[in-house]
Amino acid sequence: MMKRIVDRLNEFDGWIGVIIGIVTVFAGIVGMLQVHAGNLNTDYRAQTQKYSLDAMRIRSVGETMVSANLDYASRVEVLLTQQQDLAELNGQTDAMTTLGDAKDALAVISPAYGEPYASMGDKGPAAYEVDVYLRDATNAEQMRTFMQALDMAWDTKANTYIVHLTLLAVVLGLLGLCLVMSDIPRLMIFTTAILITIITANWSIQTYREPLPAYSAAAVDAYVKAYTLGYQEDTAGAIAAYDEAIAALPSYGDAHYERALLLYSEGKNDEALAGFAAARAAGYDVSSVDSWQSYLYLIVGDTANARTITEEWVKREPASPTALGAMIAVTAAETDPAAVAAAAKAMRDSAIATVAEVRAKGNEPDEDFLYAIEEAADVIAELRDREPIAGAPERSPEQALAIDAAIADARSLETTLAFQLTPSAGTLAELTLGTKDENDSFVAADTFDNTSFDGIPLTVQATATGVTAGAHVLVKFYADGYEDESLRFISEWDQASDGAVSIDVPIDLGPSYVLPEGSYAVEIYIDGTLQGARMEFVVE
Amino acid sequence: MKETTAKIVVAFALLLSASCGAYTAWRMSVTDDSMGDSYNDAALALIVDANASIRASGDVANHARAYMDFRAAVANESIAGDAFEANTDETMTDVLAGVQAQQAIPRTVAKSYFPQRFVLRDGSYNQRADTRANYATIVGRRTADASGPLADAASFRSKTDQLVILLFGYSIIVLLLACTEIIPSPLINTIIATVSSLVSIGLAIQTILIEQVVAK
Repeated sequence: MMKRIVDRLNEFDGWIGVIIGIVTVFAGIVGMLQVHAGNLNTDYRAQTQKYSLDAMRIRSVGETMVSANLDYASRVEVLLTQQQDLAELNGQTDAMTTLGDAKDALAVISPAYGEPYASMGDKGPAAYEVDVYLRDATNAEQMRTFMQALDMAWDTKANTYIVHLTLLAVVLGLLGLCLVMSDIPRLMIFTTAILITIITANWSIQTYREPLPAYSAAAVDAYVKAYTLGYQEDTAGAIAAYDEAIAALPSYGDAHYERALLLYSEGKNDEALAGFAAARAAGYDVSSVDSWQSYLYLIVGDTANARTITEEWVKREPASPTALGAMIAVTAAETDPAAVAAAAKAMRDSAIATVAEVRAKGNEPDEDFLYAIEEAADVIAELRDREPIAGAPERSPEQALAIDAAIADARSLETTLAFQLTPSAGTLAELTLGTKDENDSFVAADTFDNTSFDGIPLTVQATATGVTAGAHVLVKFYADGYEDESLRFISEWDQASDGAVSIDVPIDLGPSYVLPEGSYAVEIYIDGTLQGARMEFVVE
Repeated sequence: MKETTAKIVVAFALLLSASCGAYTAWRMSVTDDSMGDSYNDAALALIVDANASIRASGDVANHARAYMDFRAAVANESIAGDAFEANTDETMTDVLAGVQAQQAIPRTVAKSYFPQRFVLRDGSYNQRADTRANYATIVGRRTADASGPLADAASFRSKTDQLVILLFGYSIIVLLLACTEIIPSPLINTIIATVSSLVSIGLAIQTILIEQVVAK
């Protein structure tokens, strides 16, 4: 049998020539596909570069102009307003008019203060930002994302076709060898050549049929519209536009993600969870999705799913303070105080090690890193203060203490790392909020009016234990849950190390400034360590 | 028709198609390279444009801030001037004159930090004109418009796509000539070889024509 095949093959010199011709044609087809893929690859790469540069240029120029025309102009406006208020207090009518005219002049100096934005009220600044750069920058960023995906897909195809061409060159070489060989060697080489050709042909067909990343110009347009509407707080309009984008391109990860964020802001947690799952399925940045899913599962009381998501996340990003903070939140929703303490320690150890590593290289940790620690504390506190979900296990006193300790630990950690402080043993206990009366006597209070701090500081009375002279004192103010850094008070400890102490915190932002009505809170840090709990007060 | 003659004609046709194919492949390579060069030129133009836009906006933002400071300082100086004018207390004259002089300082300082030619009669600041002036200064003689190089790149890409089809045509010719090995008739083989030679020459001419198309 074998001999018969070998004999027949020895007679087929002419047919081998024809097969060489056929393989050459096949190579020609693959060559055409390769050139086509290579050209598209180059084209999409150029588009990616163009949109990257456009996005960078538009955003950079836009943010610069917004910083001048909106941020700086608003600073000038605040300055003139305070001067005007002071002039009013002093009965300087002419000065009030002059300062009012200067304020009015901002409308012709800064486009953000002119029309149509001036008549849009609170929505004017966002509309200005959208018009100046946000719309175009978002469009360019989305286009870059799509072009980059297409660039990579065509790059892979072009490179794969090159492999096919290389294999076909080997086949042609082998077929050429067949012509100068005979008997068994010819059979072996011929068979190998045919096998490689079949494999290459199959591979080429698969490569050709490989689907490309989906792209839809209509979806991008709808996304940009949705994003800018969302930025201007038109949530309903934005969700409708995201729906349009998703209808045009169901695998649009960014649209699923942003839509889910808006659904969450509307309190539609289950729909938001489904949206984040869709974003994950569409390949959206997995860490962002993890963060939201972990949080939302805790809100809806699905601790098991929250734990699964968070464990995977921590496994993937063991040094991420956001992931480690989420793990504290998960343990806080469970019933084991030791697990809460362990999770808090994991975040502390990791953050200290990360910052030490960064500083050893002469750099500073980025703001986002420190903010992530602070945000983790806020999230845990927010989850702690929520109404318990029906059917959730009752929180034991030990668990409550462990959660409070974890929150204080995270807040202290952020402050210690930010100010490069070494925690000391000094502590303050029995903290009480108040002011001083005309006799300089402390009056405990948690409700004040606009005039309470007119030349009078806020006072915190406490019992000190082992606080060393010169220790770093930081007082943070929170207005409606967010820190107001303009009210921060930093000083050195100049009181007795032990015993009753009284810390005066001036609220002084100008002669005509009054603390607006609202809910406030104060925290005191000694050498970066939070003392007691956050103290809340109200200005009526 | 003798078999030897037919074989010579076939060999000549093979030589011709290989030579013409090599020529087309060479020109395709050159065109492909030109496409890359055009894309590079476009990228450089985009970088020049982005750099100039960003730097110009930084300058204009600084000018706008200085102009806002200037207007606030003018107001404060005016208030100090009014206070000086309205004063009837001789003991306060020197004090108020001093205040007025102090208030003039921010105005004079701010004034030198924005180009006054862009302040319009209504007191507004022409940011657009300031931006254009700065942009033009930063760009200088360099090219900041990528549309030309991008059009060139598109043209070269189109040419490459056409030339690769010609290359595929050469591979068909090779297949046809390979078939002469299994065709016994010298006449048919000669006809195949002659047609192949003519087509090869045609493809080479087509290569030249494609290259000569001027980018729109």
